Amino acid sequence: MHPVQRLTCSFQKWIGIAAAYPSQGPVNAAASPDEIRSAQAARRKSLQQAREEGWAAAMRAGLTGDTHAYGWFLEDATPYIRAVVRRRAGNRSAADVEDIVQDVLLALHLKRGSWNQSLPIGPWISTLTRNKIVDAHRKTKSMAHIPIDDLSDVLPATQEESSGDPDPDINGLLSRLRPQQREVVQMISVDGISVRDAASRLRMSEGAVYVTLHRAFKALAALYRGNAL
Amino acid sequence: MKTKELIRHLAKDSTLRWPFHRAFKLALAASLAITVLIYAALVGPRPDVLQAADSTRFLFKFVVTLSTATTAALLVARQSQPGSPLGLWRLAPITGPLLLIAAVIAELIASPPSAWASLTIGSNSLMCLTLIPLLAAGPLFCILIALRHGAPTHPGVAGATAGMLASAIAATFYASRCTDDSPLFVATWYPLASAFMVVTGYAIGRRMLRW
Repeated sequence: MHPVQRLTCSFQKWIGIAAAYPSQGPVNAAASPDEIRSAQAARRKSLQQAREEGWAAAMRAGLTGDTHAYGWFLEDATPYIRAVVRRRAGNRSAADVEDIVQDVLLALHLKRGSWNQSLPIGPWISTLTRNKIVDAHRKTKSMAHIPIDDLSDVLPATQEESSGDPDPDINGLLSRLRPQQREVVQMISVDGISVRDAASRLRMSEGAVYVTLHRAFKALAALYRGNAL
Repeated sequence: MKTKELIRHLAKDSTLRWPFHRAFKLALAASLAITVLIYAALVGPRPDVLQAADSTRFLFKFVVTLSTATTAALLVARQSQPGSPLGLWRLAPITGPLLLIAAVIAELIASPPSAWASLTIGSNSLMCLTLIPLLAAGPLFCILIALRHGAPTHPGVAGATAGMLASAIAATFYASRCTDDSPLFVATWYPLASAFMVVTGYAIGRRMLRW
Protein backbone atom coordinates (compact mmCIF):
# COMPACT_ATOMS: atom_id res chain seq x y z
CA MET A 1 0.00 0.00 0.00
CA HIS A 2 2.78 2.37 0.88
CA PRO A 3 4.02 3.37 -2.59
CA VAL A 4 0.48 4.37 -3.40
CA GLN A 5 0.15 6.49 -0.29
CA ARG A 6 3.48 8.00 -0.93
CA LEU A 7 2.39 8.84 -4.41
CA THR A 8 -0.75 10.42 -3.02
CA CYS A 9 1.33 12.61 -0.75
CA SER A 10 3.54 13.92 -3.48
CA PHE A 11 0.56 14.12 -5.78
CA GLN A 12 -1.24 16.38 -3.33
CA LYS A 13 1.85 18.49 -3.07
CA TRP A 14 2.23 18.89 -6.83
CA ILE A 15 -1.41 19.64 -7.39
CA GLY A 16 -1.06 22.43 -4.89
CA ILE A 17 2.08 23.70 -6.57
CA ALA A 18 0.39 23.62 -9.96
CA ALA A 19 -2.53 25.55 -8.53
CA ALA A 20 -0.12 28.16 -7.23
CA TYR A 21 0.95 28.88 -10.80
CA PRO A 22 -2.30 29.71 -12.55
CA SER A 23 -2.00 29.67 -16.29
CA GLN A 24 -2.26 33.34 -17.02
CA GLY A 25 -2.63 35.05 -20.28
CA PRO A 26 0.03 37.56 -21.27
CA VAL A 27 1.42 39.28 -18.22
CA ASN A 28 -0.50 42.37 -17.39
CA ALA A 29 1.95 45.09 -18.31
CA ALA A 30 0.18 47.61 -16.12
CA ALA A 31 0.78 45.63 -12.91
CA SER A 32 2.39 47.88 -10.34
CA PRO A 33 5.38 46.66 -8.30
CA ASP A 34 3.07 46.41 -5.30
CA GLU A 35 0.66 44.21 -7.18
CA ILE A 36 3.46 41.99 -8.37
CA ARG A 37 4.86 41.76 -4.87
CA SER A 38 1.54 40.80 -3.36
CA ALA A 39 0.94 38.28 -6.12
CA GLN A 40 4.33 36.75 -5.39
CA ALA A 41 3.58 36.66 -1.69
CA ALA A 42 0.25 34.96 -2.35
CA ARG A 43 1.95 32.41 -4.56
CA ARG A 44 4.60 31.67 -1.95
CA LYS A 45 1.89 31.24 0.61
CA SER A 46 -0.11 28.76 -1.40
CA LEU A 47 3.08 26.88 -2.31
CA GLN A 48 3.89 26.48 1.35
CA GLN A 49 0.32 25.46 2.04
CA ALA A 50 0.46 22.79 -0.64
CA ARG A 51 3.72 21.51 0.76
CA GLU A 52 2.24 21.32 4.23
CA GLU A 53 -0.79 19.42 3.00
CA GLY A 54 1.56 16.84 1.50
CA TRP A 55 3.47 16.62 4.78
CA ALA A 56 0.27 16.23 6.77
CA ALA A 57 -0.93 13.40 4.53
CA ALA A 58 2.44 11.66 4.81
CA MET A 59 2.51 12.09 8.57
CA ARG A 60 -0.98 10.64 8.93
CA ALA A 61 0.04 7.64 6.86
CA GLY A 62 3.25 7.39 8.90
CA LEU A 63 1.50 7.36 12.23
CA THR A 64 -0.55 4.39 11.11
CA GLY A 65 2.49 2.41 10.05
CA ASP A 66 3.65 3.67 6.66
CA THR A 67 7.35 4.09 7.36
CA HIS A 68 8.05 5.19 3.77
CA ALA A 69 5.59 8.05 3.89
CA TYR A 70 6.98 9.06 7.27
CA GLY A 71 10.55 9.00 6.01
CA TRP A 72 9.54 11.06 3.01
CA PHE A 73 7.95 13.62 5.31
CA LEU A 74 11.07 13.94 7.47
CA GLU A 75 13.29 14.23 4.40
CA ASP A 76 11.07 16.69 2.63
CA ALA A 77 10.68 18.89 5.70
CA THR A 78 14.40 18.97 6.51
CA PRO A 79 15.45 21.65 3.99
CA TYR A 80 12.63 23.85 5.23
CA ILE A 81 13.67 23.37 8.86
CA ARG A 82 17.31 23.98 7.94
CA ALA A 83 16.38 27.24 6.23
CA VAL A 84 14.47 28.41 9.30
CA VAL A 85 17.32 27.46 11.64
CA ARG A 86 19.90 29.12 9.41
CA ARG A 87 17.90 32.33 9.23
CA ARG A 88 17.84 32.53 13.02
CA ALA A 89 21.31 31.13 13.57
CA GLY A 90 23.26 34.37 13.73
CA ASN A 91 26.91 33.54 13.16
CA ARG A 92 26.76 29.84 13.85
CA SER A 93 28.85 27.40 11.86
CA ALA A 94 27.21 25.02 9.42
CA ALA A 95 27.92 22.16 11.84
CA ASP A 96 26.09 23.95 14.65
CA VAL A 97 23.15 24.63 12.37
CA GLU A 98 23.05 20.96 11.44
CA ASP A 99 23.11 20.03 15.14
CA ILE A 100 20.04 22.13 15.74
CA VAL A 101 18.34 20.68 12.66
CA GLN A 102 18.95 17.19 14.04
CA ASP A 103 17.57 18.27 17.40
CA VAL A 104 14.45 19.50 15.65
CA LEU A 105 14.09 16.24 13.72
CA LEU A 106 14.44 14.28 16.95
CA ALA A 107 11.81 16.47 18.57
CA LEU A 108 9.45 16.03 15.61
CA HIS A 109 9.98 12.29 15.87
CA LEU A 110 9.70 11.89 19.64
CA LYS A 111 6.80 14.30 19.89
CA ARG A 112 4.97 13.19 16.75
CA GLY A 113 2.01 12.30 18.94
CA SER A 114 1.61 15.95 19.91
CA TRP A 115 0.41 17.01 16.47
CA ASN A 116 -3.34 17.48 16.46
CA GLN A 117 -4.27 15.80 13.19
CA SER A 118 -7.26 18.02 12.64
CA LEU A 119 -5.01 21.10 12.49
CA PRO A 120 -2.51 22.11 9.79
CA ILE A 121 0.93 20.63 10.34
CA GLY A 122 2.91 23.81 9.54
CA PRO A 123 2.40 25.65 12.83
CA TRP A 124 3.24 22.47 14.72
CA ILE A 125 6.57 22.12 12.90
CA SER A 126 7.34 25.82 13.35
CA THR A 127 6.63 25.73 17.08
CA LEU A 128 8.88 22.73 17.67
CA THR A 129 11.60 24.29 15.52
CA ARG A 130 11.39 27.60 17.35
CA ASN A 131 11.59 25.82 20.69
CA LYS A 132 14.75 23.97 19.72
CA ILE A 133 16.35 27.15 18.38
CA VAL A 134 15.60 28.91 21.67
CA ASP A 135 17.10 25.95 23.56
CA ALA A 136 20.24 26.18 21.46
CA HIS A 137 20.51 29.94 22.05
CA ARG A 138 20.13 29.40 25.77
CA LYS A 139 22.86 26.77 25.78
CA THR A 140 25.35 28.90 23.90
CA LYS A 141 24.57 31.89 26.07
CA SER A 142 25.65 29.95 29.13
CA MET A 143 28.90 28.98 27.42
CA ALA A 144 29.49 32.15 25.50
CA HIS A 145 31.79 33.85 27.98
CA ILE A 146 34.46 31.16 28.08
CA PRO A 147 37.42 32.42 26.10
CA ILE A 148 38.92 29.72 23.93
CA ASP A 149 42.42 30.29 25.38
CA ASP A 150 41.24 28.95 28.70
CA LEU A 151 40.18 25.78 27.00
CA SER A 152 43.37 25.11 25.09
CA ASP A 153 45.10 23.79 28.21
CA VAL A 154 42.45 21.24 28.95
CA LEU A 155 41.45 20.19 25.46
CA PRO A 156 43.51 17.25 24.28
CA ALA A 157 46.20 18.63 21.97
CA THR A 158 46.16 15.81 19.49
CA GLN A 159 44.86 12.31 19.65
CA GLU A 160 47.53 10.15 21.28
CA GLU A 161 48.08 6.85 19.53
CA SER A 162 45.17 4.77 20.71
CA SER A 163 46.13 1.93 22.96
CA GLY A 164 43.77 -0.98 23.54
CA ASP A 165 42.12 0.49 26.60
CA PRO A 166 39.85 3.43 26.19
CA ASP A 167 40.98 6.51 28.01
CA PRO A 168 40.23 6.12 31.74
CA ASP A 169 38.64 9.56 31.60
CA ILE A 170 36.19 8.26 29.03
CA ASN A 171 35.22 5.41 31.32
CA GLY A 172 34.67 7.92 34.08
CA LEU A 173 32.40 9.98 31.83
CA LEU A 174 30.57 6.91 30.60
CA SER A 175 29.79 5.88 34.14
CA ARG A 176 27.95 9.13 34.62
CA LEU A 177 25.52 8.51 31.78
CA ARG A 178 22.11 7.03 32.36
CA PRO A 179 22.27 3.20 32.44
CA GLN A 180 20.51 2.77 29.11
CA GLN A 181 22.62 5.40 27.38
CA ARG A 182 25.78 3.87 28.80
CA GLU A 183 24.78 0.45 27.54
CA VAL A 184 24.12 1.74 24.05
CA VAL A 185 27.39 3.70 23.86
CA GLN A 186 29.31 0.76 25.26
CA MET A 187 27.85 -1.61 22.67
CA ILE A 188 28.07 0.57 19.62
CA SER A 189 31.01 2.92 20.14
CA VAL A 190 33.26 0.83 22.36
CA ASP A 191 32.48 -2.78 21.43
CA GLY A 192 31.63 -1.95 17.83
CA ILE A 193 28.35 -3.86 17.64
CA SER A 194 26.03 -2.84 14.82
CA VAL A 195 22.95 -0.78 15.58
CA ARG A 196 20.73 -3.62 14.43
CA ASP A 197 22.36 -6.16 16.76
CA ALA A 198 22.39 -3.73 19.64
CA ALA A 199 18.69 -3.10 19.06
CA SER A 200 17.81 -6.78 19.15
CA ARG A 201 19.95 -7.37 22.24
CA LEU A 202 18.41 -4.46 24.11
CA ARG A 203 14.94 -5.28 22.77
CA MET A 204 14.62 -1.76 21.43
CA SER A 205 13.74 -0.59 17.95
CA GLU A 206 16.67 0.60 15.84
CA GLY A 207 15.24 4.07 15.83
CA ALA A 208 15.15 4.11 19.60
CA VAL A 209 18.79 2.96 19.74
CA TYR A 210 19.72 5.83 17.46
CA VAL A 211 17.83 8.32 19.56
CA THR A 212 19.51 7.02 22.71
CA LEU A 213 22.93 7.13 21.08
CA HIS A 214 22.34 10.65 19.84
CA ARG A 215 21.33 11.80 23.29
CA ALA A 216 24.22 9.98 24.93
CA PHE A 217 26.68 11.81 22.66
CA LYS A 218 25.11 15.11 23.61
CA ALA A 219 25.27 14.21 27.29
CA LEU A 220 28.89 13.11 26.93
CA ALA A 221 29.79 16.37 25.22
CA ALA A 222 28.13 18.30 28.04
CA LEU A 223 29.88 16.18 30.70
CA TYR A 224 33.19 16.64 28.93
CA ARG A 225 32.75 20.40 28.90
CA GLY A 226 31.73 20.28 32.54
CA ASN A 227 34.81 18.26 33.43
CA ALA A 228 37.10 20.50 31.47
CA LEU A 229 35.97 23.67 33.17
CA MET B 1 26.04 11.72 12.64
CA LYS B 2 24.69 12.55 9.21
CA THR B 3 21.22 14.05 9.09
CA LYS B 4 20.17 11.68 6.28
CA GLU B 5 21.23 8.73 8.37
CA LEU B 6 19.35 10.02 11.38
CA ILE B 7 16.19 10.39 9.29
CA ARG B 8 16.58 6.89 7.89
CA HIS B 9 16.71 5.46 11.39
CA LEU B 10 13.95 7.62 12.79
CA ALA B 11 11.67 6.67 9.91
CA LYS B 12 11.77 3.03 10.96
CA ASP B 13 9.58 3.73 14.00
CA SER B 14 6.77 5.70 12.50
CA THR B 15 3.86 4.16 14.38
CA LEU B 16 2.78 5.50 17.70
CA ARG B 17 0.72 3.74 20.33
CA TRP B 18 -0.05 6.72 22.48
CA PRO B 19 -0.70 9.88 20.53
CA PHE B 20 -1.46 12.71 22.90
CA HIS B 21 -5.24 12.73 22.51
CA ARG B 22 -5.47 9.05 23.38
CA ALA B 23 -3.12 9.33 26.36
CA PHE B 24 -5.04 12.36 27.61
CA LYS B 25 -8.43 10.65 27.39
CA LEU B 26 -7.07 7.64 29.25
CA ALA B 27 -5.59 9.93 31.91
CA LEU B 28 -8.94 11.65 32.42
CA ALA B 29 -10.68 8.29 32.76
CA ALA B 30 -8.02 7.06 35.19
CA SER B 31 -8.26 10.30 37.18
CA LEU B 32 -11.99 9.82 37.58
CA ALA B 33 -11.57 6.17 38.56
CA ILE B 34 -8.92 6.96 41.19
CA THR B 35 -10.92 9.83 42.63
CA VAL B 36 -14.11 7.74 42.79
CA LEU B 37 -12.23 4.98 44.59
CA ILE B 38 -10.67 7.24 47.20
CA TYR B 39 -13.92 9.12 47.59
CA ALA B 40 -15.88 5.90 48.13
CA ALA B 41 -13.31 4.51 50.54
CA LEU B 42 -12.44 7.56 52.62
CA VAL B 43 -14.83 10.43 52.00
CA GLY B 44 -18.39 9.63 50.99
CA PRO B 45 -21.24 12.11 50.52
CA ARG B 46 -22.62 14.23 53.33
CA PRO B 47 -25.51 12.63 55.23
CA ASP B 48 -28.14 15.08 53.97
CA VAL B 49 -27.02 14.99 50.35
CA LEU B 50 -30.55 14.36 49.04
CA GLN B 51 -32.06 17.37 50.77
CA ALA B 52 -29.04 19.45 49.79
CA ALA B 53 -29.67 18.63 46.14
CA ASP B 54 -32.59 21.05 46.28
CA SER B 55 -30.48 23.97 47.42
CA THR B 56 -29.21 26.41 44.83
CA ARG B 57 -26.07 27.12 46.88
CA PHE B 58 -25.18 23.42 46.97
CA LEU B 59 -25.75 22.93 43.24
CA PHE B 60 -23.87 26.10 42.39
CA LYS B 61 -20.68 24.57 43.79
CA PHE B 62 -20.82 22.03 40.98
CA VAL B 63 -21.36 24.71 38.38
CA VAL B 64 -18.09 26.29 39.51
CA THR B 65 -16.03 23.11 39.79
CA LEU B 66 -17.32 21.50 36.62
CA SER B 67 -16.87 24.62 34.49
CA THR B 68 -13.32 24.94 35.83
CA ALA B 69 -12.58 21.29 35.11
CA THR B 70 -13.94 21.48 31.56
CA THR B 71 -12.18 24.67 30.60
CA ALA B 72 -8.88 23.61 32.21
CA ALA B 73 -9.02 20.27 30.36
CA LEU B 74 -9.65 21.98 27.03
CA LEU B 75 -6.88 24.50 27.65
CA VAL B 76 -4.25 21.99 28.76
CA ALA B 77 -4.97 19.84 25.69
CA ARG B 78 -4.27 22.88 23.50
CA GLN B 79 -1.15 23.78 25.46
CA SER B 80 0.20 20.27 24.90
CA GLN B 81 -0.35 20.22 21.17
CA PRO B 82 1.90 22.84 19.59
CA GLY B 83 0.33 24.74 16.75
CA SER B 84 -3.09 24.90 18.40
CA PRO B 85 -4.28 28.48 18.40
CA LEU B 86 -4.62 29.49 22.06
CA GLY B 87 -6.13 32.95 21.85
CA LEU B 88 -8.89 33.46 24.37
CA TRP B 89 -8.58 29.85 25.52
CA ARG B 90 -5.81 31.08 27.79
CA LEU B 91 -8.46 32.86 29.86
CA ALA B 92 -11.05 30.08 29.74
CA PRO B 93 -10.29 28.55 33.16
CA ILE B 94 -11.23 31.77 34.92
CA THR B 95 -14.88 31.17 33.93
CA GLY B 96 -15.47 29.26 37.18
CA PRO B 97 -13.81 31.86 39.43
CA LEU B 98 -15.74 34.68 37.68
CA LEU B 99 -19.04 32.88 38.30
CA LEU B 100 -17.94 32.44 41.89
CA ILE B 101 -17.23 36.14 42.30
CA ALA B 102 -20.70 36.92 41.00
CA ALA B 103 -22.15 34.46 43.51
CA VAL B 104 -20.14 36.05 46.33
CA ILE B 105 -21.62 39.44 45.47
CA ALA B 106 -25.12 37.92 45.43
CA GLU B 107 -24.47 36.28 48.79
CA LEU B 108 -23.21 39.53 50.32
CA ILE B 109 -26.45 41.18 49.23
CA ALA B 110 -28.64 38.30 50.39
CA SER B 111 -27.14 37.70 53.82
CA PRO B 112 -26.82 40.08 56.80
CA PRO B 113 -23.31 41.46 57.42
CA SER B 114 -23.27 39.85 60.85
CA ALA B 115 -23.36 36.40 59.23
CA TRP B 116 -20.53 37.03 56.78
CA ALA B 117 -17.73 35.97 59.08
CA SER B 118 -19.29 32.69 60.12
CA LEU B 119 -20.33 31.89 56.54
CA THR B 120 -16.77 32.45 55.37
CA ILE B 121 -15.08 30.46 58.09
CA GLY B 122 -17.65 27.67 57.97
CA SER B 123 -16.91 24.46 59.81
CA ASN B 124 -14.99 22.42 57.27
CA SER B 125 -12.10 24.64 56.25
CA LEU B 126 -9.43 22.24 57.45
CA MET B 127 -11.10 19.28 55.81
CA CYS B 128 -11.38 21.28 52.58
CA LEU B 129 -7.67 22.06 52.66
CA THR B 130 -6.72 18.42 53.21
CA LEU B 131 -9.27 16.52 51.14
CA ILE B 132 -8.95 18.55 47.92
CA PRO B 133 -5.18 18.02 47.63
CA LEU B 134 -5.57 14.39 48.71
CA LEU B 135 -8.18 13.70 46.04
CA ALA B 136 -6.28 15.76 43.46
CA ALA B 137 -2.91 14.04 43.82
CA GLY B 138 -3.85 10.97 41.75
CA PRO B 139 -5.44 12.95 38.91
CA LEU B 140 -2.49 15.34 38.79
CA PHE B 141 -0.11 12.43 38.45
CA CYS B 142 -2.16 10.81 35.65
CA ILE B 143 -2.58 14.07 33.76
CA LEU B 144 1.11 14.97 33.96
CA ILE B 145 2.03 11.54 32.58
CA ALA B 146 -0.37 12.12 29.69
CA LEU B 147 1.13 15.57 29.04
CA ARG B 148 4.50 13.93 28.52
CA HIS B 149 2.95 12.44 25.40
CA GLY B 150 2.28 15.97 24.23
CA ALA B 151 4.81 18.75 23.76
CA PRO B 152 3.90 21.71 25.97
CA THR B 153 5.92 24.73 24.87
CA HIS B 154 5.71 26.17 28.39
CA PRO B 155 6.13 23.15 30.65
CA GLY B 156 5.53 25.04 33.89
CA VAL B 157 2.36 26.71 32.66
CA ALA B 158 0.98 23.43 31.31
CA GLY B 159 1.80 21.80 34.65
CA ALA B 160 -0.07 24.59 36.46
CA THR B 161 -3.13 24.10 34.23
CA ALA B 162 -2.92 20.37 34.97
CA GLY B 163 -2.92 21.26 38.69
CA MET B 164 -6.01 23.36 38.19
CA LEU B 165 -7.76 20.54 36.31
CA ALA B 166 -6.81 18.01 38.99
CA SER B 167 -8.06 20.20 41.81
CA ALA B 168 -11.29 20.95 39.94
CA ILE B 169 -11.93 17.20 39.61
CA ALA B 170 -11.15 16.75 43.31
CA ALA B 171 -13.29 19.73 44.31
CA THR B 172 -16.27 18.34 42.39
CA PHE B 173 -16.23 15.26 44.60
CA TYR B 174 -15.34 17.15 47.74
CA ALA B 175 -18.25 19.55 47.19
CA SER B 176 -20.71 16.70 47.71
CA ARG B 177 -19.14 16.01 51.08
CA CYS B 178 -18.78 19.54 52.37
CA THR B 179 -21.72 20.98 54.33
CA ASP B 180 -20.59 24.57 53.82
CA ASP B 181 -22.45 25.77 50.74
CA SER B 182 -22.09 29.53 51.02
CA PRO B 183 -20.19 31.09 48.11
CA LEU B 184 -18.25 32.97 50.77
CA PHE B 185 -16.84 29.69 52.05
CA VAL B 186 -16.28 28.27 48.58
CA ALA B 187 -14.50 31.40 47.38
CA THR B 188 -12.17 31.37 50.36
CA TRP B 189 -11.08 27.80 50.87
CA TYR B 190 -11.48 26.04 47.53
CA PRO B 191 -9.11 28.41 45.73
CA LEU B 192 -6.60 28.10 48.55
CA ALA B 193 -6.55 24.32 48.25
CA SER B 194 -6.43 24.58 44.45
CA ALA B 195 -3.61 27.11 44.53
CA PHE B 196 -1.52 24.55 46.33
CA MET B 197 -2.13 22.05 43.51
CA VAL B 198 -1.52 24.67 40.83
CA VAL B 199 1.86 25.55 42.35
CA THR B 200 2.72 21.87 42.72
CA GLY B 201 1.74 21.26 39.10
CA TYR B 202 3.87 24.18 38.00
CA ALA B 203 6.91 22.97 39.93
CA ILE B 204 6.63 19.37 38.73
CA GLY B 205 5.68 20.36 35.18
CA ARG B 206 8.74 22.55 34.80
CA ARG B 207 10.97 19.54 35.30
CA MET B 208 8.85 16.68 34.06
CA LEU B 209 7.38 18.17 30.91
CA ARG B 210 10.53 19.52 29.31
CA TRP B 211 11.46 18.01 25.98
